[in-house]
Amino acid sequence: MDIELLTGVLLLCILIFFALGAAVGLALGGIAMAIGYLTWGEGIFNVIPTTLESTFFSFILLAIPLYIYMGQLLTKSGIGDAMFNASQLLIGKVRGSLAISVIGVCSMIGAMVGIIGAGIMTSGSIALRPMLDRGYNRRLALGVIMAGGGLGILIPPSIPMIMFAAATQNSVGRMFLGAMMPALLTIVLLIAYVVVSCWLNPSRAPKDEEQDDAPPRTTRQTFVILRDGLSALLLIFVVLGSIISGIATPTESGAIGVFGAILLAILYKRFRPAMFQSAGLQTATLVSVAMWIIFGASVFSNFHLLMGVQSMVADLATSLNLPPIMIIILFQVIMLLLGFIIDEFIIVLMCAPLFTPIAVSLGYDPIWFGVLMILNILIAVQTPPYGFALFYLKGIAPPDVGMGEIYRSVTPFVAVNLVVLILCMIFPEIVLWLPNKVMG
Amino acid sequence: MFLTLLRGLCHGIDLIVMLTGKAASYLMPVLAGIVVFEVFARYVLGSPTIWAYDLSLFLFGYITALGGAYAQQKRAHINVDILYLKVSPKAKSVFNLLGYALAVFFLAIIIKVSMGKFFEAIEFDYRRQSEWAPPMYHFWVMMVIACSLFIAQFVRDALNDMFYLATGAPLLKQKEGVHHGH
Repeated sequence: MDIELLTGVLLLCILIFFALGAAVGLALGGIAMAIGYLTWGEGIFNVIPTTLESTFFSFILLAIPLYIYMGQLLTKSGIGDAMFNASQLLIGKVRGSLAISVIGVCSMIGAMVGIIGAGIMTSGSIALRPMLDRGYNRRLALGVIMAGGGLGILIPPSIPMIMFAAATQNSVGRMFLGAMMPALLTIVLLIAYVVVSCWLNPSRAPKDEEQDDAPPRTTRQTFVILRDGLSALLLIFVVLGSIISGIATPTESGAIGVFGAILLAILYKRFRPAMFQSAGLQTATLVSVAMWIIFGASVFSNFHLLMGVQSMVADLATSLNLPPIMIIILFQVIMLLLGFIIDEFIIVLMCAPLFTPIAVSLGYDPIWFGVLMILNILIAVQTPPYGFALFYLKGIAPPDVGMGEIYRSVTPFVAVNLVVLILCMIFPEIVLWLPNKVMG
Repeated sequence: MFLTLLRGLCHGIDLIVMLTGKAASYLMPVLAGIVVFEVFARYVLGSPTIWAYDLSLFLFGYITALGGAYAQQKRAHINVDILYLKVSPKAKSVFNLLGYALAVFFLAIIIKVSMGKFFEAIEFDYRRQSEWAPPMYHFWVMMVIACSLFIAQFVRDALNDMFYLATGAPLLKQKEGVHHGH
């Protein structure tokens, strides 16, 4: 069977089994092995042990359980409340301050959790109620939670970025640095949007009258709030700093993060042995789910690469006779479309090994392409009607919020992300300046 | 009689899978502890261990592979549920059976190749290529066990769906067949 036909058959099978609601990792592996057996014979099963050894014995991927564990411990440690209170202390007088805090705090928490779904759930459980209680516009409230929680995959340490680096043999540190400026740009633009929209339409974010009447905080209370907020920031700084400065590998800094999260939980007086174990169980389940997807998708993509899909895509790219940037845009459209229906892990695992070498052969930087890929995924998962992040948001929203309202609430924030994507595409320096400056 | 046996089988599988999954999750703090200790030994004590690297990778493999069946029990594996959520309960059961069949096929191949690797590892005494050089064979034993449990969980779920398709009634009292997906 030639590679074009084979690819068609594989895609058709994927479509069928995904529509049936099969577990994606096992389905991908099963499809590759079934089609492989029919076209190639039993020899194709040798893909399995090599893939097992390369995924389960990868020191880079070992960072994933550690970051997820850190995130789980942090969400139970009360770090979100601590950062939220501290930011309110600083900017509580600004109109829309709660929404601004949410963007700042949720992007930090999302960053620590590193997965879109968990980021949105955590952010929502901390911040949605305070905003609704104070009479914030519901769409604004839901939109900022989605925007902040989703940002987690763009802000290091991010699980999809680790996967990208592992799948394309790039430096995780460079990838993290490359995403820093686009992430900052996104945060600034999101906050600018909130400030401007609250200024144009003050009823969207009523100022808190009660707070002005409340007795002023004692110095001690202020001190505790500041101490808690600063220690949370310090942990994030240490985890990121140790990777970027090269002191520790991403895996080791994940371990430092776990240790720091436990210290924070003790500091915030939330540490319980039971919490330690329930975080362990949740982490083990999440990591297991992620690794079975990584394994199944890697079996699929190794099989597909073995059959020569790489040269097919390369031939296709040259035969289209498009200028290089159009090919990059074409890749991005494909990733956007995929992101409408499937989850961030699979897009990275399937597209990274396929598209990145071609982008590099066209003269582009792999880190730049990787960051664009993450931005595309970020947009795709928030885009109606089936972006899966929308369903997480629906899950935490008050019961009477319909899907239509969810769609309208996220639209301006998705637009902001799109602006950042286009800026990064036109000015690659936004991505490449920092890694080149720090790592040469 | 037959029904009691069938129910007993399902509950038995549930119990074993749950115990294994929870046991694997207890390794999670251990894994984190080992990597933290390695960082401490390397940067504070100035003498990195020779065993932390391989041991942490083995634990990582054990936790993730053995947790697979438990995640299936909890319906935690990610699926695309756009269509799935819209069809009737009977159609859901048919969808499940097709998906399970493909998954079991894949897992069975993993068992087959892992057995092969196990005998190879014993025969040629394969080890990790590091200073510590721990043996590899136990990893393949674990893979066989993990995939067998995974298959057992799928069989239990498939029995449930087949029973429902045949009789229109759930096999177990509190049917846990609710998909959370994402």
